[in-house]
Amino acid sequence: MKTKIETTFSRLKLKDDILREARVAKIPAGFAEKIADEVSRNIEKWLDNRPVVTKKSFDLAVIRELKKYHPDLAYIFENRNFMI
Amino acid sequence: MNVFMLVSVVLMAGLINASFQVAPGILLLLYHSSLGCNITGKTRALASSYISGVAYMLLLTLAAVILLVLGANLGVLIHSLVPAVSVSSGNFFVSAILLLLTGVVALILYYRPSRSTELWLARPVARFLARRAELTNSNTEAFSLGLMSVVGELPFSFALMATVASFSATLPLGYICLSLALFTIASILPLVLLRAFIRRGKSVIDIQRWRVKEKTFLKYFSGIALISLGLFVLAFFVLGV
Repeated sequence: MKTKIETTFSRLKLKDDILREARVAKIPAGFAEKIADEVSRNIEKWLDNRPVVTKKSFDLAVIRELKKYHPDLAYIFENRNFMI
Repeated sequence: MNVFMLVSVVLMAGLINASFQVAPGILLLLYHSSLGCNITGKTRALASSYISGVAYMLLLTLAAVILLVLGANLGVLIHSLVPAVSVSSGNFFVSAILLLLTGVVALILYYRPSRSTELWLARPVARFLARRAELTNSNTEAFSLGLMSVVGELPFSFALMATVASFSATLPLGYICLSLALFTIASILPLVLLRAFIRRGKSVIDIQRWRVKEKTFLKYFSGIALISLGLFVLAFFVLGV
């Protein structure tokens, strides 16, 4: 049986995660900062009326948001756990 | 057997081994995690240590398989089980069967059915290797990650190593060293190229996109090449056509 792991959303953590991936995607720092701000704000808004979400739907929401700003960044978010 | 034949078989085996995706996948993961938090120079050093680890382990494993083939008297055992196979071609027979079986398995099972490049590796092994790649922060860790990636790929590369060993075991020591060097160089070629591409400006995303696009080609290349090599060994060195 799978163990349930619950974590609380942290906007700062999500922003750091996006900035780290942006460095991998070679996105200029200023633009990356702007994307991270926008996406983390939109995700926080999306979570407002959802007290509990699964990791998968959270990831999908982040990817959906990232696609609006930078498809390459969304691609690396989507594939980073499936490289091997 | 002449030197040309040995070099061709060893290079072919090395190139098939190079088409397997565990080592390049882990190197890409290493780049992915290191570029996100380290300066480029450190990432380069980690990648070099990883490639050295892969080369060192390939060399050691192939040398061990050659010693195993030299020490084990498989010919007598195979001849007693299959009288049609002569005592001298026992090693070739075992290699050919291993190549054919591995080829069929590679064609059917190599990639998981998903849009990405997830491999046949058991989930805990894949998770362990991915986590190790993420946590790798020193050259020693990167080197040992290289060692582990070769171990992770052994279920597929063993047949190729056994074939190279069967060919080398019939020749003098100089040729054994030549096959060790050629097999290792051919096998690490994609890692060296990957490092060069990233150094020349390609991103991890470009390379991952290419891997996803070409995964079917790579799967068929490995599978068909393994089967072809197996049939070649069976025809010319076991049946003596």
